[in-house]
Amino acid sequence: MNSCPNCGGELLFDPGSGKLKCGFCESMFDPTEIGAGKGAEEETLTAEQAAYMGEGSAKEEHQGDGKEFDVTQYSCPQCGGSIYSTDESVTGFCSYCGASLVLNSRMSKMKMPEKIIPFRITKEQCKEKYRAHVGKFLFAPAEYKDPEYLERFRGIYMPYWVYNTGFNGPLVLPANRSHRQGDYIITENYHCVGQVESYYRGISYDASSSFDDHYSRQIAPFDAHTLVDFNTNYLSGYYADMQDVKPAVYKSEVLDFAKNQIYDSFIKEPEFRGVTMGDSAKNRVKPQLEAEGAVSAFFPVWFLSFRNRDRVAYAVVNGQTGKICGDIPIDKKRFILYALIFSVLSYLALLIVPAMTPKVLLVVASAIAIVCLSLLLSTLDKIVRRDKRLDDKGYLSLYNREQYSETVARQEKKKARKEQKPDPNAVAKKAETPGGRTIVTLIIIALSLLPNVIGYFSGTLETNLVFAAEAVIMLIVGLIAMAKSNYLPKKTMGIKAGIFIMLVVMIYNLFINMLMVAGDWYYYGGAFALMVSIILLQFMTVDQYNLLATRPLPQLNRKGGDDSAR
Amino acid sequence: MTVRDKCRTIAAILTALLIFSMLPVYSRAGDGDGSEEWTKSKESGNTLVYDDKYDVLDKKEKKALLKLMDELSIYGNVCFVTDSEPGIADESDADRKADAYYYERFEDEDGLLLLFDYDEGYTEEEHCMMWMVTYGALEKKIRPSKCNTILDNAYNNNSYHDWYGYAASSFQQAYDLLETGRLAEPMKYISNIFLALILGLLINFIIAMWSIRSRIPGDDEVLLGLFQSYKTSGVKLDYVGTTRTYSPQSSSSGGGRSGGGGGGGHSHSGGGHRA
Ligand SMILES: [Zn+2]
Ligand SMILES: [Zn+2]
Repeated sequence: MNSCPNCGGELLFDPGSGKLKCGFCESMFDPTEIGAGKGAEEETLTAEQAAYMGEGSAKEEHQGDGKEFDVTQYSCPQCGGSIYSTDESVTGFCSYCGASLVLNSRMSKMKMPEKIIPFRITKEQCKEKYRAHVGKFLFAPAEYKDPEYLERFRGIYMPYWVYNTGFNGPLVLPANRSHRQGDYIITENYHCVGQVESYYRGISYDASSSFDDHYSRQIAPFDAHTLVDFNTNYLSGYYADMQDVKPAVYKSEVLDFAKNQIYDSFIKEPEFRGVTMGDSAKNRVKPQLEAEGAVSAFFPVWFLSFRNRDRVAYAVVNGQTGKICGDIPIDKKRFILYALIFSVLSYLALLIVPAMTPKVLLVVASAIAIVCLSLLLSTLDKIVRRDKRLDDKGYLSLYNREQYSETVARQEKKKARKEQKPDPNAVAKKAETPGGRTIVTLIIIALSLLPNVIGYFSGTLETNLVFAAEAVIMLIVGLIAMAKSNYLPKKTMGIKAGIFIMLVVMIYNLFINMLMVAGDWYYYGGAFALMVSIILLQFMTVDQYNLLATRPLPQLNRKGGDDSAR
Repeated sequence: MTVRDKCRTIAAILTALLIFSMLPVYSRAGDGDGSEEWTKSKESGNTLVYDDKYDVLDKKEKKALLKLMDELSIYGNVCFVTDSEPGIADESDADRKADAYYYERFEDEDGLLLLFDYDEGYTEEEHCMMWMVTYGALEKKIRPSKCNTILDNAYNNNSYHDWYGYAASSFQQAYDLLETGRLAEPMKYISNIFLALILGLLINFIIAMWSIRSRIPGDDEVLLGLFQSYKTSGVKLDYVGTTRTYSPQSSSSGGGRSGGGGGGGHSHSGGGHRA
């Protein structure tokens, strides 16, 4: 803790000005020039830091340099999560599990990072941005907009690894150009040759296992240009999290990023216009981590947790750019209110649609049922992935080695598959989106509905055929969803029962359709039963959505021997 | 054109051929088996066809029904047909029968036909298919779904196998619909309420899912935050060699599509109910 040279008041880092500010007389001081932060240890560090963006010393990684500084560790007796501070303060709540309690404090040491991006977004700005974000979500619970609660936003410096990579050397990539001449295909073979000098410095990945990659990915990017040498003065008034993920964990991501960039740029050279690169060309680009390949740094993050019984939701705001990642659960009362409003609107819209025969009604209801089932399935899938943190390499590398190697293997496989794609110019820029499967399903439904719509208005609808197809799709999606629900953290019977009811109704409908039972009441009955089961399913999906927007309470006893207590 | 469309077109052509071939024998189809009775409506000049081959209505019922049909005839020709010829016994069969019957007599004139098709082929207990079809201008006013609703209502509002009740109620509803443009459709309202609730919830969901969509930055955005440099020198395309691969071109040049879809069919709309 620093005190003001003028009056002795407490100096805190002020994101607005980037200076240390006296809370009492409001004097401003440059954080690099004030006393306590500049220890003797740091003087020795600066030479090395100066080398950072440049050619670099021969050091491989800056692990275990041994430079440490004194901090107070505040740990939560409930979840074991710890935050660290250079100030002495009383903390009445835990940022990881949201519990309101006084955190245990003890003196500790923290490894000194080399770089830091100081906070630029003030708490007020952060709250304002977050309130606006919540305002856009129709079904947000009132608590999420409560200014008093938002006061709990805590500025935490998250440890990151900042990677520097590049590629210097010749590239020779095979390519060809072909055209047809009568019954022959003439292929001219070429080599795309060039000397490449490139670097990509400042690629960052979070280095704390307690900070889920889900959030770090979404609040990215941080601007590496604003990195400055670390100085404990920047921590005044803020907290920090402990670095515990090794830099090797994200090495392959970093190299892949560079590889894609270099390859994309190289094939766009004007000399190579008109030729097509061979399949394996991309793999010939082999970027390397630079001598000072991974640098430890602190990045500013505003952090807030909302506790709801045994689940917790996080609001995470990039302390440099203000980018928000915050999952908001659904408030059921508001959800029902809006559902009724939309229902009334839908009802009015449906008045224009001519009355449907019971069979057409069944076909339409089944299509909607498939959409709802797919939504449920995709929600379940996301919950399972998130609760087990299957997408969080940093966490897995520490607590779940088995799953970690599986994830790595899967990524390799995916990469291999992608590189086998025949068209190398169509560089797959974006990885599979998480909702990809749902979208595919929706397209299938849309396609199956198209003849319906045409058929309905031209009076030539093959209802039986479409309905049979729908029943099959529904059965498949339903069974997958039931299987998926086994991996949920809790309460799977409700979902299973709900899906089961729907499938039974569907089988009944399939039978009356196949047997061509006479009497519209059988069909109406089937359609109504199906629609009731859809409504049931939709309400179940709200619960699942809320599970998705929240997470299980963290178990972060990092210091203790029992790792992943799961 | 779907298979069914084709079938329908072919059926229509065949029917037309059949009619042509029959013309010399029967000067005018109708008085063939003696059950078909034609009446000209005094008021509208349109034709009423009462053809109770299966003999399900008695004299009194027939008189009452003709009165209703007469009222309805201001909008077009009105036919009431009962039939017992065995056929394939499904909806399309009834549709075909009704279609051929009307076309044979009135071609493209405005009109409405109600067919009770008694056929052992329909399920044992309920071996009658009630079918209503509209033609010409009426086709737009009473669409198949409405025909269906009319017959549903007729079936639900009368006692079991009350054939007169079914027929009378059907004509009455068709008349009301043409007069007022409305039809009592309780099923439509009930199913719409369900559908609206489902859609309301679904819209909610889509909004919710959209709000938690992933906002992972793309590579371009990431690049902005990096120190980066990309330079090349000596870039050139080296020619290595040429390979020839034999790959015979297919000789067929596509071939013109032949024929159009023959204009034999005429438009109509219809809907039915098993009874
Ligand atoms: Zn002061
Ligand atoms: Zn806690």
